[in-house]
Amino acid sequence: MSARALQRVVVRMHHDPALVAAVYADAGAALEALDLTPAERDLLTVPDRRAWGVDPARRDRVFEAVRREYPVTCALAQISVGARGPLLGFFSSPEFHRAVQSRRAITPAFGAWIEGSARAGRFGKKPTAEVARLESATVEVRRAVDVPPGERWVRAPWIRVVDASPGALELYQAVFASLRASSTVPSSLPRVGRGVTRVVVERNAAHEVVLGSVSAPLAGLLRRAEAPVAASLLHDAARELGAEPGDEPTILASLHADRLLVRCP
Amino acid sequence: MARRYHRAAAPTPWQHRPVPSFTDRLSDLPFLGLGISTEYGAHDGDGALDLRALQAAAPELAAFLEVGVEVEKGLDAHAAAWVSEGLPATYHFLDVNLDEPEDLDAHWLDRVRSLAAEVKPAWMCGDAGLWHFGPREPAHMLLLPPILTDDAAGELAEGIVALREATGLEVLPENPPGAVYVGDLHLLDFFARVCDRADTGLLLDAAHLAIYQRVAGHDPLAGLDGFPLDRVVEMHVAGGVVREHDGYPFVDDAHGLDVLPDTWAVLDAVAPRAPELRAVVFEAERNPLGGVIDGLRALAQRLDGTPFGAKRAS
Repeated sequence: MSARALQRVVVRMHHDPALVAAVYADAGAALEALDLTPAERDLLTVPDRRAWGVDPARRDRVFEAVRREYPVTCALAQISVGARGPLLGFFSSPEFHRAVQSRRAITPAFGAWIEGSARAGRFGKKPTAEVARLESATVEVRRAVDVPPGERWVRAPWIRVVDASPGALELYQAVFASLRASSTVPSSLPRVGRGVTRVVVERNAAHEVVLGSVSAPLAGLLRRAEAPVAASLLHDAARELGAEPGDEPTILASLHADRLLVRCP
Repeated sequence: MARRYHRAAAPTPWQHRPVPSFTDRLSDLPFLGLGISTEYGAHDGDGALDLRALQAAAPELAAFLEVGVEVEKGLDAHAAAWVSEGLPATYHFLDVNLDEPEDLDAHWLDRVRSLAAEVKPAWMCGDAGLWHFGPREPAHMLLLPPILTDDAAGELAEGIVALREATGLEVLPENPPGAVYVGDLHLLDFFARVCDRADTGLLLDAAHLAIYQRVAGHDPLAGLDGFPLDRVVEMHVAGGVVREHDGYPFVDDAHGLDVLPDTWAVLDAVAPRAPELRAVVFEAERNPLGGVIDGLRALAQRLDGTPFGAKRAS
């Protein structure tokens, strides 16, 4: 018996009427991927089926918590489909169900779902997908935890380097500013083009999340430090990316001062 | 009385530190009497209960405050003012899944200890259910009941012991509300096992128990005969509303003023047989003063003639 596995299915059923219907129709088929015995699965269909739906606002409440971390993505997506309801489709998505069943946070799972959906042609397509990728990085840096000090270098846990199409950062910033000022989306929006730019998403010392563009060499150097790396190897990387020989220690010190690189074990 | 000793986490892996049994620890728990509950911002709404006014009008009916706490929010101004005066309080957690060891993380425990130092609670308590899914995230407020199985009771008991040892406070699990209960145990059998394995007391919410009995198709008092009522340290009473969804009637645990007959029936059955009952909360934090006072008076009247009522009177 796995009470936790069963509990997680219960959570999923509370949020997804489609899963409730599937479990009551054929619990074995609906939950075959899980390590539950037939007797355990049977426990799920003992309650009156209607009882699963007595709190219809539950999904809205949870979604609201998620939406606050994806304000621009959700605003663009909602405009594209004309309603908030389709966004609640997240609760029937594989991303939601996998996150709950494996005890992962659902907020990042929403980012993956909405970006994937937008790239597949829904919710405003590419512009929404690009903004979702940026906001997913904001979700990650908000949750970043400090690393203990050491001799090696690593990209600061409170930053992410994101590849974005030209115009994505400007689109995000324009909509974010407008939502903040007037809770509306501007009628004229920056266009998202083809190609790749690099954006740094940072949770600064004041715990505000800020986004800015960054050069390709700097993005490359930060990516070389995504896992802990010795100073000598980072010096090599800096030279490969165009640094003048002898400048490497100064560059690393500067990035350390700017809170982009930190020391780690 | 011979002291019973239970194994517990010790300062070193090989040091055996005897821990007093629940029966022994009970002597450290004060009698609190009748109290009211709060959570962050609950008293800010229009028509919400004014704690100061209640205290001034009927101090004997508001002998302590049960402070509902999410560590990321902390205490609001009302709760902070109450505890700053050194008035009696209990700490009701709103943000921990006791059956998940990962949930008792260092950051959360640090914040709990810090807030407990401020509140100086007589004990900790809270719904022993699922407050959030996955890692602790803001604003989920999921609150689902536990799976009512034997192994879930064991996992919950381990969490209670772990939190008790980490905070040095008694931790009383509360039976949570729910619309759906899954498992092969009656809720009271489940919590009897939890109390036994964690060697702990219980916060029995009369309204939540009545909701469970209704959902399960039982009489309001079913299962109480076999339940160790000497484990009940605290009780909650709250008003509820019968609603309907798709033709299915259910009780909304609305914390209103109208206490349903099944809830009174549970209180009337338990209180006379709960010798260790030390605190009874009327959960009505978002209601106006006059109605709350009337509710507390009705509650006090029902408790007259019980061991709890006798202690209040003495």
